[in-house]
Order: sequence, then C-alpha cells, then structure tokens
Amino acid sequence: MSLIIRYISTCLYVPAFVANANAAPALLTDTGYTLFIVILKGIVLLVMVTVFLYTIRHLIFTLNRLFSAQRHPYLDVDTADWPTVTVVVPAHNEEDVIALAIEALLSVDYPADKYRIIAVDDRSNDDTWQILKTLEGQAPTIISAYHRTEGKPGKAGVLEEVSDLIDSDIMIVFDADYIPGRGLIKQLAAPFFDAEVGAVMGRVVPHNTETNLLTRLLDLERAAGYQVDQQARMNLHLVAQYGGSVGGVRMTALRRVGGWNTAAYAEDTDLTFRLLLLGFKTVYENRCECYEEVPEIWQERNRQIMRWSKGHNQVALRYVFSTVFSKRVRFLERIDAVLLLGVYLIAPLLLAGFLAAITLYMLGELVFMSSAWILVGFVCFGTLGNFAAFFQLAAATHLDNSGARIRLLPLNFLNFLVSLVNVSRATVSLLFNDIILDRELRWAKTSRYRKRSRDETL
Amino acid sequence: MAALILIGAVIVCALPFYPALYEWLVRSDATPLVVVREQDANIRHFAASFFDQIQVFYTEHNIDPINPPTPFRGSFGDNDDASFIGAEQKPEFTDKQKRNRRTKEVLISSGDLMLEGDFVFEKEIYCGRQLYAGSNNTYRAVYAGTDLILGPHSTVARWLHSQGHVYIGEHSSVYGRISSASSITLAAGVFFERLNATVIRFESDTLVNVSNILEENHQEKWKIPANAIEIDEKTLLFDRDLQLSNKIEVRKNIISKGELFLGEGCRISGNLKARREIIVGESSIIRGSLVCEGDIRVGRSSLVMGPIVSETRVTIDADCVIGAPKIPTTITAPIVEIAVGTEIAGTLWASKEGKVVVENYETNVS
Repeated sequence: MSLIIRYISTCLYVPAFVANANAAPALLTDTGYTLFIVILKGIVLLVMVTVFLYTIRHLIFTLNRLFSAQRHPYLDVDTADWPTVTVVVPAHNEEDVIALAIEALLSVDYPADKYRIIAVDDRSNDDTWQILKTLEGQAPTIISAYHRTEGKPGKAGVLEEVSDLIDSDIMIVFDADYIPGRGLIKQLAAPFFDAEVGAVMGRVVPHNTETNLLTRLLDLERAAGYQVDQQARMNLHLVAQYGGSVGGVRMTALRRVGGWNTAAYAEDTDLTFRLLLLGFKTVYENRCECYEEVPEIWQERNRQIMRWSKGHNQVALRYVFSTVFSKRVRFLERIDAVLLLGVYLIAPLLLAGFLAAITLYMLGELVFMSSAWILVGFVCFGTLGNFAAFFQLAAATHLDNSGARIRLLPLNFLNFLVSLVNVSRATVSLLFNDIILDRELRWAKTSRYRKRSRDETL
Repeated sequence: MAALILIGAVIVCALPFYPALYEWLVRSDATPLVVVREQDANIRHFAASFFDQIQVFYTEHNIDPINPPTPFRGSFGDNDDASFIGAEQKPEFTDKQKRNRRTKEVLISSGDLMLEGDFVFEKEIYCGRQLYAGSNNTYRAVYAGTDLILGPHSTVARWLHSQGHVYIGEHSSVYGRISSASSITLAAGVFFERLNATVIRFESDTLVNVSNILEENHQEKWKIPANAIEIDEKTLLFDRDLQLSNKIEVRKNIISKGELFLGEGCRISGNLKARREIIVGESSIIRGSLVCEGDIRVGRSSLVMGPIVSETRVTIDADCVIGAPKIPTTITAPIVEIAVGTEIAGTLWASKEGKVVVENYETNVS
C-alpha cells in the first residue's frame, strides 16, 4: 500500500515523470506495475459503467415525468370511512417551532373521533415540554404529550417507544418543523385503503428558500428528488421510498416487520426495504406537500448528508442480497431497488474513479481510453448533483412552474462537489467506525432556523 | 493573441454562470413553492368562492334577498357584467342576446329562476332558490339555493352546486365539479366527471332496497388456500389469480398479484386489492375497499362500503349500493360506468369520462 501511495505521489508531484512514464518500473516491478495499471483501469471502467447505468435510470425517470401518464390513484378519495390515525411528532429542543406544527395539525380536516396526536418531547433542554403540556391542555381529547427521559435518543427511538401506545390503524410521522395543510392527513391516509400499501410518503418542500445560496440549491435538489425521482418510481411501479416525515405506516405491517429499527441511521429507508421484502408497497403522493426547513449553513448540510449516506449504505449492506433474491419483489423492482440502494456508493466510487483516471493520465496509460475518459467527465457532470441529474433538476423546476430558479443550475456543481466529498467521508466512516470498530450509532439533530417566541405562539 | 484567446476561453466558460450569478443576486424566483391548494381537495371550493362573491355583490348594491329591488344591470367582480333578475322568475335578455341565443352576463336571481332552452350562458348563474332550465343549454357554472333541475342535453363546463336536490336530464354532459348538499340524480346517458352528494342516484328516484342485498345467504367460511402468504395478521397475499366460489365468507384483506374473481353472494369483511382485474359477483357484500391497477367490475345488486379505486375503469352494474349516507365513500377511476338503478353515497370521480348507462350487465355479459 505504501508503495502505491509513494508511486501516486511521484506521479502527481514530479512533472518530469509525466513525460517519462518509463520511470515507473523503477518503483514497481513489471508485474506489480501491470497489476497496478489493470486495477486503475478496472476502477475507471467500473465508474464508467455504473455512472452510465445511473444516467440511463435518471433519464428514464425524467422522460417519464415529462411525457408519460402520471399515477395518483388515491388522490381523489375524499369521502370515506376513514381509518384511525395517530400523528407522531418527535421533538428535541423545538420550542421555536413545535407549537406552530401542532396548531396546524389541530386544524386539519379529519374526523376528530379517529384522529390523535402524540407529541413527544425527547429529553429537551428548552421549553418544548412546557409548550406541549399547554397544547395538550387546550385539546386533551386529541393531543397526548409524551415526555421521554431515557432510551435511545433520536427519531427511531421515539417512534419505537410510542408505537406501543398507538392503537390506531395508521401512524403518521411529522417533524416538529413541518406545517401541514388542512387536507394533508386525509391524503396521506387514503392510500391505506389499498391493502398492499404498507407505507406512504408525501413531498417535502423547503420554505426557507430565500435565505441563501445553499437553501436555494437544496430547494432544487429536493424538487428533483421528489417531483421527478419519487413520482417516476411511483409511475413505473418501482420502489418509492418512505422518507421518515410527511409519511405514514400501516401499524399491522409495522408490527409484522418488527417495528422501527433503532440501530439504523436511516430508519425510514430501513423500513421501506423491510416492508418491500414482506410484500407491502410504499407509495408516493406527490400532491401531499408539506413545508420543511433545509440547512442554512454548509456544516449542517454536511452533517445531514453524511448521516443520510451512512444510513442508506447501512441499509444497502443489510438488504441488497435479500432484495435481489426475493420472490415477492418484481424483477424491475429488484433492479430499481439495487440501484436505489447504491446511490450513496456512487460518490466514493466516483472519487476513486477521478483519482484512478488522473493517475493513469499522468502515467500515459490513458491514451487508448482518452475518449472514454472524456465521456466519464461529461457523464459524471451530467448525472450527479447529489445524485439528481442536472436534467432532472431542470425537469423538476419545469414541472413546478418555477422557471427562473433553474438559472442556478451551474452553481449546483458546488453542491455536487461538497456532497461528493462528504458522502465519501461517510462511507469510509461507516466502513471503519461502524462495521470494523463496531461503534454505536450517534444521533445528531438537524438545526432549526425559524425563530418564533413561545408567547407569540401560545 | 494568446491573451485574447485566453480571455475568450474564460468568457465562454463563464457564460453559463452569468444567469446563475444573476439569479443568485437578483432572486427573481426564490420564494418557496405554494403547497397548500385548497381547491384540490374541496369539491365545493369554487361554488363557495362564487357564493362569497355574490354576498359582496349584494352588499355593494344594498340588495336584500328577501325583498329584492327591481331588475338592473351592473358589474360583477373586477371585469364581468351582471344582470340582476331580482324576484322575477325569468331573465330579461337584450335583443342581441335573444338573437345570438347567448349571454356573457353573470345572472343573479334572489328567488326562483326559470331558464329557456337552446341558450349559452357564458358566465356564472346564481339562483337564490329553485332553478329550472330547459334543454340544450350550455352553462359555465351554476349555483342554486335549493333544487336545481337541468333539462336534457345540457352541458356544464366548470361546476354546479345546489343546496337542495340536483337533477340532470338525459344525455347531458356535466364536466367539472357537481355537488349537492342533499342528493343528485343523473338520467341515463349523462356524461360526468366529479360528483359529490349525500346520495347520488342514477335515473331511478326510488331507493334501492338494501335489505334484499343484506338477506342472509348462508355463506360458507373460506378455506384459505395453501398458496396464501400471510403478510400481516389481517392480510393474505396471492402470487397469482384468485377465484372465490359463490357464497364464500372472508374476514381478511386479500391481495392478488393477478386477477381476483368473487362468485355470487360473497361476503368480504376486508379490503380487496388486485394488480390486474377485480370482478365481484352479483349480490355480494364488500365491507372494505376495492383497489385495482386494472379494471373493477361490481356485479348487480351488490353492496360495497369502502372506496373503489381503479387506475383504468370501474363498472357498476344495476341496483348496487355503494357507501351509505352516514358512511359516504368514493369511486375513482379514469373511466367510470354506472348502470341506472344504482345508488352511491359520497364522491364519484371519473378523471377522463363517466357515463350513466342503461344496463351494463346484459350488454357486457353478452
């Protein structure tokens, strides 16, 4: 290994070496050098093939969204004997936002006798618990305030703990900063009339878009992810993903798969795959829209994407083989599921591909692959902007009728580069810290930016 | 020369960033997307908005609906002309309107209203009480305070709402949202899109005798086939088509990855889902929902209490009961065909085309 590092260092830092590739054998034996080149070319080839596959995938999704019939089968169910629903709102130090979310949940259009809210204070250090108790006093038949002082911190721990308190058919999860519209609960409950539906996911829309460039880039990214990616998977009967908030789960299905996985970084993706393997579907409801806050500072964004990356890769390691060989999952779903599980592995692969290609170029070994190398560059650029292709971002803004914001597209390359590095870091961290060193999951809360005084709220 | 080429290259490379930097700094499209669209979910949204506008009109013109003034012409809202009819039962059209058989005025009546036939009403009509209209009329939108009766071959383009009973004459086309606070009756041959009422009847003004449907048939308990996969305590999954014999009683949710056929007189206390097609035999009772990626057909004299959702077509044969006034439900599909004699409580939404047919059963079976 040290020899290879020394070798790459030589390649990178001695310009004369570029002109004289024959110097290489001085550091490596002929066999070792050949093997080294074969490995590098193998990495480049792997990157090319993988990125090509993902480009095709995203192109299909985009074309499907732009030109095919759209599936919203449950959207029009507006009168029914509605199932019983419990909305769970986990909150950790959410005094600035929690009251607004609960007030919005109290004003939704859903039969009161079939609707409960469990607002969970997860060991807050601020006034979250006092606010929840006050709100509970205002609507005691609907709201149950729950104070959590022990157990695993984090959303999965909260959900697992309160699952035992829920006697309704459906559990709907909202983050404390989400503000639902009046009809949202019915829209999220409607798909559960389909016996095959195990979970439902709605669309989250950033509401702090005007803050800075980062929030605007994340707005583009979210639009592409939901408006194009998720809806296309819904249209094509592929694997729509449960995203943890603005979504619901059928309680009988949840119990059958063993509840929430508190050991998972991404309990939502974990649940999506456990339901899929059991025979349930996750459906996406593009018109079930709800506002959320996106990170306003890059450090927060980095932490968020690293957490997502770790969680997603954890799920990939856990379920990829069982998904591939599952008889209950359709063939096309299996292909999509594998590609879905692999999205966060693309970043480290791409980074390795860059390094391999540069090394090959410096060694003069990329000559016969030069056109392919250029192709890799273009494809990478066109495909990955936190894994949403740029054409997908453009399609999303078109579908949202928000044409001018697409001008920011070139700047999204910045977001892509930052994500590339952080997702790669997260993958390495998962490999060494979590798998090899077997360290326990550390939960990190996403910061809130909306400030609202408690007095104003109450 | 080299410097010029370099500058040119930099300009070309920087060109895509110009609109990006402009948008970043100017923020012409930085506001959050609008996510709450009340009109998406509420079938009566447009009718309620129009009613509010009428109240504003009454206030602006000091109109007391109990003792209305004599008819007059004025403006309505920002741009529209209006004709206030008052307590007169018929609107007074201008010569040009009579000649063209067309009006571009909003018609506002505080009492009963009678409209002649073969006329085009390009703007909304408000009627404080009952509205009777002749045949071959075309409407943009209509609001009636009590009953609303449209003659044969009528066309409604956007919406129609009545606080009382709605009757749509035969071979009419009612697009958009049709709603009533009590009941809607559609005659045979009517095309529709979205209907909502406590009770929706098709041609027949008589109630379907539910007791006949609910009559005890001595159902047999279902022997669960060996290929059933129990995916949760209430739900069975079948990898292939599933056919249930006549008079079978099932107390589970059933998912079929193929087609699902129910024999006559079945009793299902659960939700049914099939990927390809669902056919419910006549005189069956489904207490849950019917959901299918393909067609759904409900046989004659059946009762379904849950929503019926198809991604292609729903066909309801004669004398069925779907939902109940106290437990309204929804039928939704791109194409919906309902046979006369059926009764639905709740919402009926055909996103492409809905039609009232005289008798599905015989025509389709033959």
